[in-house]
Amino acid sequence: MLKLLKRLCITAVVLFVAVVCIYWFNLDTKLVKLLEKPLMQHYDNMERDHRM
Amino acid sequence: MKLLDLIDQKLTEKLDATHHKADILEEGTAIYKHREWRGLKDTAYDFSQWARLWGILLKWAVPKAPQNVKAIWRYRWMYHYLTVPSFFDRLCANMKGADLRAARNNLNYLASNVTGTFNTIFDADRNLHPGSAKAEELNKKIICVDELLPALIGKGFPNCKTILFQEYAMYLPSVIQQHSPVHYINQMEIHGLPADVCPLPSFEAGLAIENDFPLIGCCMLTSNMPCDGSIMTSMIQDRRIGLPTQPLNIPLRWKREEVQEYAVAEMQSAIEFIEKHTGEKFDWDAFKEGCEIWNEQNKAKFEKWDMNRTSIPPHTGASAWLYRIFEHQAVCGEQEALDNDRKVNKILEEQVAKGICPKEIRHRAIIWNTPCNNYANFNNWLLECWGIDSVCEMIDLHGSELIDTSTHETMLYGLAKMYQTSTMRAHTKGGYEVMYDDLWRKYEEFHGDMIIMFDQISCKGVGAISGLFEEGARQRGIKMCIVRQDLMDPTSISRKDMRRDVNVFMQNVMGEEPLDPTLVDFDDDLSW
Repeated sequence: MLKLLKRLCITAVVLFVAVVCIYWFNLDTKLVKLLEKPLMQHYDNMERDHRM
Repeated sequence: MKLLDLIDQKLTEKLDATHHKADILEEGTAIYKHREWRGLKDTAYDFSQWARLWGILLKWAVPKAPQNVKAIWRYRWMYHYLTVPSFFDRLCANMKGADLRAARNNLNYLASNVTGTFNTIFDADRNLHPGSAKAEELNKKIICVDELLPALIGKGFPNCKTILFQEYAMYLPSVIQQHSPVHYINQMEIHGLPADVCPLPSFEAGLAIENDFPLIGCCMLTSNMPCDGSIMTSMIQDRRIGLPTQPLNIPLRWKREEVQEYAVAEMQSAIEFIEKHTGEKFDWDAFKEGCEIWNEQNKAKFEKWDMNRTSIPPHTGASAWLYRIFEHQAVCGEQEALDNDRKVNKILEEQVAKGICPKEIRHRAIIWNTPCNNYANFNNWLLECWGIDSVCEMIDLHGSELIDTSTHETMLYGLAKMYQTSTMRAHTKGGYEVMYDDLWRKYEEFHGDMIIMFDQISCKGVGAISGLFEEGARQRGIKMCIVRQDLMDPTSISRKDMRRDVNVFMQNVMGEEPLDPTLVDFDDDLSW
């Protein structure tokens, strides 16, 4: 029981530190930035029904 | 000294020694190398609200992951919503104390509401679910309205959802990401439409040409914005969307009592139109409840204005005016929005009561004319670089008449008045005196010491009276800085160009040095 509690605490601390690092180093924004080029290329290559 | 204060001091020395904001911006993209250090307490708060935002986004994304991935794959404008955490960072730049707390609460409420609306839109979208009987069933109870019309009329149809049609594909992406309109404006111009109209209708027309609007709803109420761009885009959208459509012919001379009878008749006609296409009967009790909540939302806004008239304005800038636009248009009459208002007002009142102002304010500016969507955080830059606080903004001042809910007739009158004084109408329609005289009144009320006048180069209506403003400021001895912008098109006037207009003014007319010299000139052409 104590061992499980210890593991849970360590996991929680590690997760918290990871989330703080993501926040501080702006990793969420930088990841989204990486998606920009491939997604824009996909949108450019899509077949479109252009109509006025 | 307490331990926490010591830790705060040490961290501030290490992480924010010079407080030069441009030092933490990546070259070109202006993405933060790391998030801002605001002192221990405010940074911890900012972190908690950022985590709350991600909770909101995941709460939306995960339960309907296949549908949401399909929507992102289908619609170019959906990519820009992935950049929302970065957008919120920009709108909260340099904020501390009540300003930061109000901004984060307002913005997180917007995120929560918008993601909820995404579920409604994508569940019913004929592009995502072609031939789906379930989607068609949902569409029978979706009322589409032009994004420049408030959704309050929908409060009388509680079994239906009222969606601002262009809000999610056009308006919000244009503030979130400066380049989002460019592709669609190009499409419009490639197809031979005039390039000299306002980018807002151009963006809408481009979306319609590309078939990039979600196809939802059973009927549509359109607006009668009297500009060449609006007339152009209305026709193109109507053909593409293919819904039964009724224009809401809102009187332009809204200050005249003689037009009110006509305005009320238009509201009645709109109600009949919606009843016909939804099969629902207008519910006056539900509508009354919505109007009363909206009145309370307005009163909460009046309290904010009162606080901004003090020498320690607690909450100004884009997170205030963007929230007001969204509240006025999309979530008018929503109890959750009112709850958020009350929570935010409590935070602001506490700071004002303590007499605290964490901002460094050198100037109290009245910001007039429509703000620039492609530089939504312009207010943050004004304050950070030159100490100019935007204590009153024209875009914040619409739809502020309370609705008399005593009878059906008075409610219809109030609804008609709200629509006549909504976003893009309260000052730019109604006669020149509305826009002209109100500027000097607000300058006195809010104890301004300068004016920032946006010169939206594609807007012919307001452009026609720009000379009057210059003459008026000269006569009154008021310092006025004119900032050129093109609403949503960064390719004609960039953020850098806008900053240059202010820099030249502040250096040559005001004779001042910047608070943060690294922000005077920096490259963010590629930034979101």
